[in-house]
Amino acid sequence: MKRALTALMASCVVGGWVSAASAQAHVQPKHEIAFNRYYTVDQMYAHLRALERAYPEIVRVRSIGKSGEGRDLLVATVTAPDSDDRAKPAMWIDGAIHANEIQAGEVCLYTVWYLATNYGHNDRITELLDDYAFYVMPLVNPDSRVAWFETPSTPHNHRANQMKMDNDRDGLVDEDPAEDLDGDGSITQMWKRDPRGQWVRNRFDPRVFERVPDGEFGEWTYLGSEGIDTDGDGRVNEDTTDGHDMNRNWPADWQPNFVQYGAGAYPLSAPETRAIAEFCYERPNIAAFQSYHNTGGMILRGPGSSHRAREYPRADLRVYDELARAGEEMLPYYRYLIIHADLYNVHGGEATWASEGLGIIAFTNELWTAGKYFQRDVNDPNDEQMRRFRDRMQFGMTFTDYTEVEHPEHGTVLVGGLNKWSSRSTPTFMLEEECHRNFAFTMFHGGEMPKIAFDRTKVERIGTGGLWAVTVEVRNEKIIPTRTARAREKKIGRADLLTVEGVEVVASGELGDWWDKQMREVRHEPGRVLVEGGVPGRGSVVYRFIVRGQPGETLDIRYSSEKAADIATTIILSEQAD
Amino acid sequence: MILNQHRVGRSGCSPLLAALCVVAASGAAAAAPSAEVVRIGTSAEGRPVEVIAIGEASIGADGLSRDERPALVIVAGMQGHHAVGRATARAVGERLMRDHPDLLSGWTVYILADANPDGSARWSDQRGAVAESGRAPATLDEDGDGRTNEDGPNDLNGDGLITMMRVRGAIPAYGIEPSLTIDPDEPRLMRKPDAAKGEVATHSVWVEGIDDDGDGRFNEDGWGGASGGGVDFDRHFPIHWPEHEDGAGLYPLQRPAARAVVEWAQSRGNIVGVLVYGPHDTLASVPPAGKFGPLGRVSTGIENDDKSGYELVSEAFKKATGISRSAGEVDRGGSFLQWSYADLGVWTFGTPVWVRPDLVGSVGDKDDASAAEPEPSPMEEAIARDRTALAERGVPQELIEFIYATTDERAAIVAEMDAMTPEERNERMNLLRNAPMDVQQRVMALAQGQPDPMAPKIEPVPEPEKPVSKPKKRGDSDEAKWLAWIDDERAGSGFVGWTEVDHPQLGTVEVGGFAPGVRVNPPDELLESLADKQAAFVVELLGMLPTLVFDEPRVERVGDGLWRVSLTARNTGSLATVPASGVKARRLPGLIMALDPDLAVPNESIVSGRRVQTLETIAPSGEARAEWMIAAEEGSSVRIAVRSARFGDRGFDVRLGEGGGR
Repeated sequence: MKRALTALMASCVVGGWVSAASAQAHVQPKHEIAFNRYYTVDQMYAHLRALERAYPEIVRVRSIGKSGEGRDLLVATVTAPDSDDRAKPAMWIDGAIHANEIQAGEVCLYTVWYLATNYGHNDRITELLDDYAFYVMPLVNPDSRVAWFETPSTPHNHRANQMKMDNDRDGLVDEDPAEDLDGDGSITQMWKRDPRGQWVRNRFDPRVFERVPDGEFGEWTYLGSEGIDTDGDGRVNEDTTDGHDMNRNWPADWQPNFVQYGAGAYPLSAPETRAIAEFCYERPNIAAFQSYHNTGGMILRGPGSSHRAREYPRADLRVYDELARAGEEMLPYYRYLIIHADLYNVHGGEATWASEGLGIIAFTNELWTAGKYFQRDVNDPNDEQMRRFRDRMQFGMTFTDYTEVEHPEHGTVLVGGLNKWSSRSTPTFMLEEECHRNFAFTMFHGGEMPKIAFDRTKVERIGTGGLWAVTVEVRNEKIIPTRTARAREKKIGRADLLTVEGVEVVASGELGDWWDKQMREVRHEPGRVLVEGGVPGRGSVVYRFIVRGQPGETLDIRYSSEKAADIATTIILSEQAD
Repeated sequence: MILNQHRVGRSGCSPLLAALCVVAASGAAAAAPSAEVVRIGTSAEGRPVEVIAIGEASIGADGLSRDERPALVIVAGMQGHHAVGRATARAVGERLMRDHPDLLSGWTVYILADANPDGSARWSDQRGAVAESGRAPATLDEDGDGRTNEDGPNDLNGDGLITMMRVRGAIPAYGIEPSLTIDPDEPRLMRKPDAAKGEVATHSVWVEGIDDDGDGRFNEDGWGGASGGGVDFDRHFPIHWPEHEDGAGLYPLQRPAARAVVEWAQSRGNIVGVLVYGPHDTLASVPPAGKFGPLGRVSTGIENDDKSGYELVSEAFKKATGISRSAGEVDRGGSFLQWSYADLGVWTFGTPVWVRPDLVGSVGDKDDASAAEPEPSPMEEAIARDRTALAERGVPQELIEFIYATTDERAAIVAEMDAMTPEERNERMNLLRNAPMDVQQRVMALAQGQPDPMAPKIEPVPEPEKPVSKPKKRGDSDEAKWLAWIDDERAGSGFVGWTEVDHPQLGTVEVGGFAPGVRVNPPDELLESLADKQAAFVVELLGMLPTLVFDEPRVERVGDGLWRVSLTARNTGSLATVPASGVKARRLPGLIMALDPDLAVPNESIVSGRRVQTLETIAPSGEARAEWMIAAEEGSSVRIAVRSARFGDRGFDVRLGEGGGR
């Protein structure tokens, strides 16, 4: 806190303000970013670099590797000035591993921007960055984001990476991509005039095709999605540039492609997933994990597969539940769901890897939900309501009007329909709120990473032979334990370490609570205790050391955890009142 | 003391390559096969991972180059201490080149003799004492105590070997309780005490070592030695990877050598068969068919449809090598072998190459047969009785199998039923409807995930009447048989007699046991004959693996300007072109036959038949045909392109006219 105040005062001097407490509303960003629009890869990266230039003490941007097509994979490390991000608990935040789920990138960019802008101005943000570090990777899949912005797309394609893949298994690779026949940047629908067709156009709104009753004939036949059968195999757009689904490529319940479509050649076969995994394995201080996707308004936790349902210990589920319930309140129309039970089976997913492989608390947020269009108890708007929304609120921007196009096989066809900006991406006028609410939930999660301190201590003399009983309590004030039950069960990472130096430690043991008389003895190395279960969330552990020493001698006691900042205290051997 | 650490693998492949080149040069054949060493990757410690490609280097009569011809891969050394595998893989390569150049014009053989060079280097050049481990050394904190590699095994008796230590009595400070007794018939061996005879446990056995870091545990965090630490390449591949278990690695294929092997194999679509020299056996005994992992999709043994193929190859293997019964280690998931079969999707076989000598030949040895099959437990007997009773009441076998299937198998059966046509499903349901009511109840309960309401129960058997464990005759156990061989054939060399050693933490203990590797690697003088037998098997195997030949394309006149064109492919091998696991894995396209790939013939002129036709697999001695009807002028020609990663691409130009074809 002391550092926070110093930084706060420093920035006040620079900024010329006198008021400290109420500064947030008046913070002048050193780098302005509009959050009512979407950014290409180059624009996104330019903003990250600009934030680093504007806040060099707080934001550090580095490339953790190259994408499949050779683009940088940028990660911003955000933490307090003059502090070591690896010496404190850290949170991994990423987005757009499915590149079509575009707003995930903007939520991440907003996170970096908000933290950097408000550090030293807002006490809570300042404390967050003093205590913790955040590793933010807005674009996990930059290659496909380029494809989504620059080549014809739908709301749903370019989800996978751009790895070469023979999608239709005909021995040729990427030989039948989609064709944008009307040049609107989106792959929409094709209709052909047909006197035996099953569809008619609505006479009041020609954008609407309606099915005629069975037994009657309409005027139009639906030909499928916009494109040409490039390889003459009778199928359209069946082998595009899209490759593997990188959210199925992680080494936790990874399954081969025939079980889990998109799994990739082997776990972490994609350069992007490998770069992230190696980054995380090298940083055991990562204690929380958030991945942004769209769509549907969900806060998701694992397991991804029903056969792993029992692999989430009850103690951990309490943590997940408490964080996510808060999220449901902060994110209107969002629901807290379990992937395998409420959605579908996902094998080898990213956030489930963080939960099951790294043993940390991890969520996937599915950004945007239909409930937010009208925000008045219309959770599932019908087609007519959606048309009104698009016409009146979006001024028609997410619909491409039908135009006639000459098709090599079908002759004259109509091409048009909902374009790539419809349905999945947050309407831009609501984007900033989407960013902020999700950012706030993620900060709530990150802000509950372990924070430990020595609480009560007690020194008692035993007999007259120079023996003392020294009892110490280590308390964690946050919801997340220093070691999840998952990590303990699967022996992930290092146990917490409680060490005593300075005097001879004769025996030691754990107490059930502060008043417990009996200790569960640590039989070996009593001065170097492995605390396998760590310090529970909003709880404490109590240890007693039987030491030999003269009055006035001191013990240096240190508690070290991979997922919490180390703490140390010095205790003097002397009679003391409780 | 003889140690079986064939050091051939240490200096890379160049000596072998030189040898192979000499063989090739001396061969009289004009198109002699040649060998080329291809570096496919680098191990964590910087050693090359190399494949020797053997075959006719030039484009052959089939129009294919070496990397396009169907190939067999021989893989060895996944386990560093399996030196016999490395030596045999190379020796088999030499024999193929010397004795079977004719085979190598139609086949490519890739030899990956040292798949885990860090593991084999560690075995061949161990610092300090030799321990029986094939793991790749890794600096890991195996026990999660913040220290790495701080407590490996220790050579207490100074013989340069890590063997075992037997500890008498209980030592509470280390949680040591006796569980074994000295075998009175063979005091060098330990066994479980026979309670019925009033025997009590007197000893426990541990890997030789001290508690180096004073945490109360022995050898729990070494470099990958006798226990704890390192990466086990047989638990390091992605199929059924034993996540978070000892030796599995942080993630599958974390070690660059393992990753290089996978990436190389995936890049070589021409691989149709894999033969692994390592601890697992699929040849002396065929793996269980129709067993699957927790999702009911990924085989843990082999697919039912591949069983006959495996049996066929097994017979050939037994004949060629004399190895009549399995002595392989149980595959616990994550092996290269499982990955190669289930995900790469090719015929994959494994053998330890050398097994306990009494398992070779002498198929009819009754004593051994009874030793190999343990006495059935009372529960097994009760189940067998119940199955017989059900069968006698006329309950269909399908239902009995369902009742006694594992949970996974049952899930797979239910899933299979979901996928059936209504007629098929109805047929199945009729089986159930016609069954006795109690059987219906059992099946329905099990199908809903409830316990079997009529599961057989066993009456507790009074102790004295039936001892829990049958006292074993001298020489019955695996260890006793090894010991007998060591005594008879090696004058006792290979077993370290128990000698007392003063242990700093446990007091007086005895150190001794089998020398590391003595039961894995044969004496050097046996290597030649083992290689001869394995080479004979490989020749047999190449004769059985699938081979694709094409008939001349056929052209028939259907009418004026209308032609029926067809192309027939035949599998002349004894195994399907793609095993059932490969059809399921769908990693590679099947056999593609595409008419007019340049699209000169418009779609509307192809009157019938899809332009691109795919055949996933062709049965042994089976054929597959693609057929089109084309409207075109007489005398014009079309091209049929065959695309097959496994058997090579080909093209056929077909003239449309009487007597067309090529």
